[in-house]
Amino acid sequence: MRRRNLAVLFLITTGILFLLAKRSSAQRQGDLGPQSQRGATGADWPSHYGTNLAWRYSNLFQINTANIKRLLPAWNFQTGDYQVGLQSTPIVIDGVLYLSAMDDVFALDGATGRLIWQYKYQPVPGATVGRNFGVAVGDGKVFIGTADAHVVALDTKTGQEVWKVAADDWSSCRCGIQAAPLLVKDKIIVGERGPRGRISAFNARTGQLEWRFYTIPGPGEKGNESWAGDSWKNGNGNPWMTGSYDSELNLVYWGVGDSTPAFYGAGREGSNLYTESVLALDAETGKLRWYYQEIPHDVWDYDAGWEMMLMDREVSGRMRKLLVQFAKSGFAFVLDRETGELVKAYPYVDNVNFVKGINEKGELQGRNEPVEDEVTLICPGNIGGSSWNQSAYSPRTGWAYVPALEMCNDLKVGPPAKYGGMGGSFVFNAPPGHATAYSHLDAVDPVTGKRQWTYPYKFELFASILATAGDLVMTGDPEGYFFALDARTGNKLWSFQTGAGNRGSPITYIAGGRQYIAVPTGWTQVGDLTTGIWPEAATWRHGSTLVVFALPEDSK
Amino acid sequence: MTRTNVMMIPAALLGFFIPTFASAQLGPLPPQQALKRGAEVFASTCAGYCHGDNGAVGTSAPRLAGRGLDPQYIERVVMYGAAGTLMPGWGQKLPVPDVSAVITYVKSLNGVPALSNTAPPPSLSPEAQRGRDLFYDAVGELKTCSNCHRVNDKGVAVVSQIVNVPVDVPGLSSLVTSHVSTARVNGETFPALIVTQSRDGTKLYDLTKVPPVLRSFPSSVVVKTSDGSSWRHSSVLGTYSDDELRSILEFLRGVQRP
Repeated sequence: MRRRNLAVLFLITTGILFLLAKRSSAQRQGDLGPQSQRGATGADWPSHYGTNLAWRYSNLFQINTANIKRLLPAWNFQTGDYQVGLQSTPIVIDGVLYLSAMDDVFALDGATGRLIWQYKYQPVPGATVGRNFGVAVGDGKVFIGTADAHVVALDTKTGQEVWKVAADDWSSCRCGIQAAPLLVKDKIIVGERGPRGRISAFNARTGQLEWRFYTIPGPGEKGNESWAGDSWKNGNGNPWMTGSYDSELNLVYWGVGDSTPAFYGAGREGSNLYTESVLALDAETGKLRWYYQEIPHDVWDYDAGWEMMLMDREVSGRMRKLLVQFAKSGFAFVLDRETGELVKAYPYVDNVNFVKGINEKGELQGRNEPVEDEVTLICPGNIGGSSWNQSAYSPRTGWAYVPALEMCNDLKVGPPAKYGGMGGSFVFNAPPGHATAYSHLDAVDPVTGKRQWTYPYKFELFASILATAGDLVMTGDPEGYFFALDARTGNKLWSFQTGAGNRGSPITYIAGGRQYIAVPTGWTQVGDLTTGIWPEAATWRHGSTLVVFALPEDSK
Repeated sequence: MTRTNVMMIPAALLGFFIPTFASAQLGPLPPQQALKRGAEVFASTCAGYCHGDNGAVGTSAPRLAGRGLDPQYIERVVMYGAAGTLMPGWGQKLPVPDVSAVITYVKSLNGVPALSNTAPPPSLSPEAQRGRDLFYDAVGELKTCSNCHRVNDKGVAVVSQIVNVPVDVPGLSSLVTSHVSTARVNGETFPALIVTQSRDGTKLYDLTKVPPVLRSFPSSVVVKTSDGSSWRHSSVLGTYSDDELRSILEFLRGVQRP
């Protein structure tokens, strides 16, 4: 009896000690509760946007506001492929970093940069490799989508092919994948370009197709009537970035791009579903649960393809499950992610003239549509209020960190036979009342849109934002500087010249107990186009190097 | 920078929206070129230690010339190899034009003239044109022949090139597919097209669903394969109507006419 009591006491004590240890360890990692655990990364950077809630936020704080000034490069890795810069986001699992460049995949030791293996994808005859945004890793495999519409699974240990599937016949449809796949339980989900965009789920183990959702509804399907005549057949609706996933609702969220021709709406009259929409798909079946179309009948080349942050926040005294997207149109859309109901839409850039506003029902007010063969100034321009580079969200401050671009287009539109496939041509221009274009990185309350601080910049900010529990907000600029701001004040704390323009997505992780920050560098052709408005752009360097930082060994 | 001194940028120049493609298409060659190239590929890849010069003498592999080998057999073995022998499948190892050329060459060694099924087709009838659009249908929902067949330099070459076009729709549905095997791996059983099977491991197409999946198993994984399968060509034709299938057959006949 007495022995049994002692045993019970021992178990209780051990349990309490264990819980205390666990709690203090969690606190060390900057834990703010269950939702923060789901949305934040820890030692790994396990998925494209950090976690599937797409916060680009890490719980790590070994590197923080107090010691950031001591940060130094630890190692570099050059992919050797400079065509499009390094636009992919690395994944890190258990200290191994997986990186794609074009359709190459590299596995590197996260502490030293040593190459563990390299996989070189061979495209089908006639096809070439293309820009790739990154891989997904899980189930012992590395998954990549290719520019010729293949999905390939590689063994994480060896880099050998486990399976490969032609998601579509590239030679017939010119379909292609550049987004990082999204791993959801036993499925690998990819967004694919095509005459009709498509989102497909493959069995992660076997590569067999599990479900497919076309972003343009076919004949007889609801939404097909939103396209005049046969225009749906080439409607496009490219789901070209990666989606988010809420495991509690078991819903996959995916953003859909614009219609074809992008600037010219004659011939495709109607709202053009599901272009410019956020889709909520059942993860098991791919069935559409709800959709929210941000820009019905787009004629400005905006996209609803950007990342969607999933967060639970109080709205008017009630906790809501929200989805927040800082869209290309310069508007942020805050949706209820259970129902698709619009909670709020607000502009996050200063210069918007394509509409007078968006009302509480989400209706576009006072559309400023380009007139055929005339020059119309449209703000934001078709690089967007932000490009595809992603914002971050810190649960510690409750703010989103958003790279905003103030640039407009002189847009001239007409039929594709005269103006090319996009149905228009454009020149970048300054917003009215400004001598030139400019940008700013803002801390924003994602629900109200209230700006907390602003970091102004004279050119564009084209790299993704990283936020950490060290209260750091980090990103890079086209001149090559990677820099850190104080998440609470926006004060610049540190910067480093990486040698080439920044157009990628920095991440952070732990390898061998040490925190690293990995920064993809190398400027890009789209940036070169801005020499028309900033002559300095001619000096921004291309490249394709991963620059990895850490604190000096003695300061662990 | 003022508005007046900048040029309008034609949207099509914006490579960041539009993927770039190689300008040259690498497809099968015209017949005489194919024969020549086939002889070259054969000499560098197949002769030497295995089939001998011009396929005339088998060294470590069978003689190939003048044996009256069935054209489909030649295609199948060149593409997928011969299970249980050293003969590998070349379908994934050589560029498509080379595989096609070497098949043409080996066929010529067995009295099959090099017919063109790759040159631009003679003018297709309206029905054949409809069949062509259905064969490569890029808008339809995976109901495309070209997910598995490559004809006229288009399509995914999962199976070897189509040689004998069935005379009618029942013939297409009941096509003999003896090259489809049954694979058993880790408790899984599925219809498969074997690509290679050697001491290095097994590579095969899993035909369970469309599109087929090329799966690779290292030698440490036991893959048992047996001839024949319950898989039927009719199982992938279901989304086409008989009328559409007739047009597709007309297209294939049109393409095959020398």
